[in-house]
Amino acid sequence: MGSNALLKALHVLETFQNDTGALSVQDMADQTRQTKSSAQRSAYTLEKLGYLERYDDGVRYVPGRSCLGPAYGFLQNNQLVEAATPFLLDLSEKVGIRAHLSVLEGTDVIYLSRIPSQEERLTLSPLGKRWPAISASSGRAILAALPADERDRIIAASRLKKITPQTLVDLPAILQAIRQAGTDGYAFQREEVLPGVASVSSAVVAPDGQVHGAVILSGPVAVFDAAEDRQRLGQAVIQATRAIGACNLS
Amino acid sequence: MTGIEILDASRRDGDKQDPRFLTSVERGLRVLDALSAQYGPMSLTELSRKTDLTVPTLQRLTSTLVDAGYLEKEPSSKRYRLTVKTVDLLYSYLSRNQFAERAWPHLVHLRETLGVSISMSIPLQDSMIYVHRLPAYAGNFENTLPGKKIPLCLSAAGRCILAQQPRQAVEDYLAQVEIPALTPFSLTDPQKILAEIDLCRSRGYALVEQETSPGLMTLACPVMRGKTARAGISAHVPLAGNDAESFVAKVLQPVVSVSHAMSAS
Repeated sequence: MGSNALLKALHVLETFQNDTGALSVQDMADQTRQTKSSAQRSAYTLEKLGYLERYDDGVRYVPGRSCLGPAYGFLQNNQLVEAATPFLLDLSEKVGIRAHLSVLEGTDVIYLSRIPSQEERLTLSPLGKRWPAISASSGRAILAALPADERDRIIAASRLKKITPQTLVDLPAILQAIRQAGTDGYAFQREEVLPGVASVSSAVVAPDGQVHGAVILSGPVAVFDAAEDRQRLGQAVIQATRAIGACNLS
Repeated sequence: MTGIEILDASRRDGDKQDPRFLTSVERGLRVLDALSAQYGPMSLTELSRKTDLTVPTLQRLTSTLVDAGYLEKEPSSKRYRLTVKTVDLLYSYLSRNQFAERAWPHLVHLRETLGVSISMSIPLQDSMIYVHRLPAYAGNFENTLPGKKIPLCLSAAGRCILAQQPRQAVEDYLAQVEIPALTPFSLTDPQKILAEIDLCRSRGYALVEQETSPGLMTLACPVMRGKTARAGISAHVPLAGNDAESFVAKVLQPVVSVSHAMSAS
């Protein structure tokens, strides 16, 4: 038997993942289908523990600094992040655009890399950012590398949703993009997740066939416009993911 | 956003008597905390030692945390480890924290200018927790990870935070807080730490040698909001090949100007 109060408090904390702003206790209660007094008790305790903080208005809540702690425990023990980090730095330096790492989580990919670089001055590192796997190049690279039954299950569970005007929402077109990734060894998308940005990705596959994640090279669309540039960048991510896959990942 | 109240003595023992405080929530999050501080997965016995909770209580809590997706049990060893879902928690904090977001380009610039490792940390109860870490080189991937905690009274940034508090309050705090010896160089005598904090108050920066990591020297300056310090900006170098005097001469001004720029924003 588990702890009900703990579960309810975690659900309250998770309401911030579907939203971008600050939330009132009533918002939390509505989103978690708890009574207001139950959400109130969770929020009170979570604030005491630093998992929630008050927003500037002194009434609503935002996630607190204690939320930073558990990710450190996960990441410092993650062999994929450890093995990939030097390759991401090397790749970023060699090709002149940012390299990232992502893993599949449900029907999303989630970014796990955090590498400082000059061109990133204006935006925060995307550690923790999620995208639908069927739309992101890294998701398509991972889907192409997975066994067919697993791939079909994830695609079936995915929602076809436009993120930008360019996002493919036609299932046959998405399946074709995934097949193409399988043929080329890398996936390519153009402006499907961010306007003005394109990317290539290749999956990290261990010798035993297990798919661990994907490496992404992303940058302004112009960098990818010429077919030979796309091909060169595609080959560069393939090389990096082969090297990472050969590390001892468990 | 209001910070965590530093040196709030009521926080320490008031919670148990507080009828609104949910003990099982605190205990569950204590399990996540124990796993965050440790390299490698942990068994129930190891968790019990770290959290002061009984094995039956931990069975109940870990079962909830597994159901909620934050923990997984290694089938072979029956040990628990944190999952990728913890990264969502981090993102929910960082993605809406404008202070952290505005700080990032300043820190990237500082790292480029100085060619040394740069970090920003903020106070959390008896610790400083890293929000950003930008290593000078990628030798150790752990150096890039946010979320690590350092004891408030040993951390250079933490001493900057404490230096902004009334001296008597700091003295009382040091008398009752547990001071862990992280390295053989960590100061554990409250009076000696108090003297370091006094020094920091008078010169506006803290210098810590090897007290939190062997072989490392750190200089930190506070980022102010009004009269209180909300964060610390730190520059780190290996002790080998660097002497304190030239390190301070090299990094102090750039670190001060970044912390001033961030205090104003």
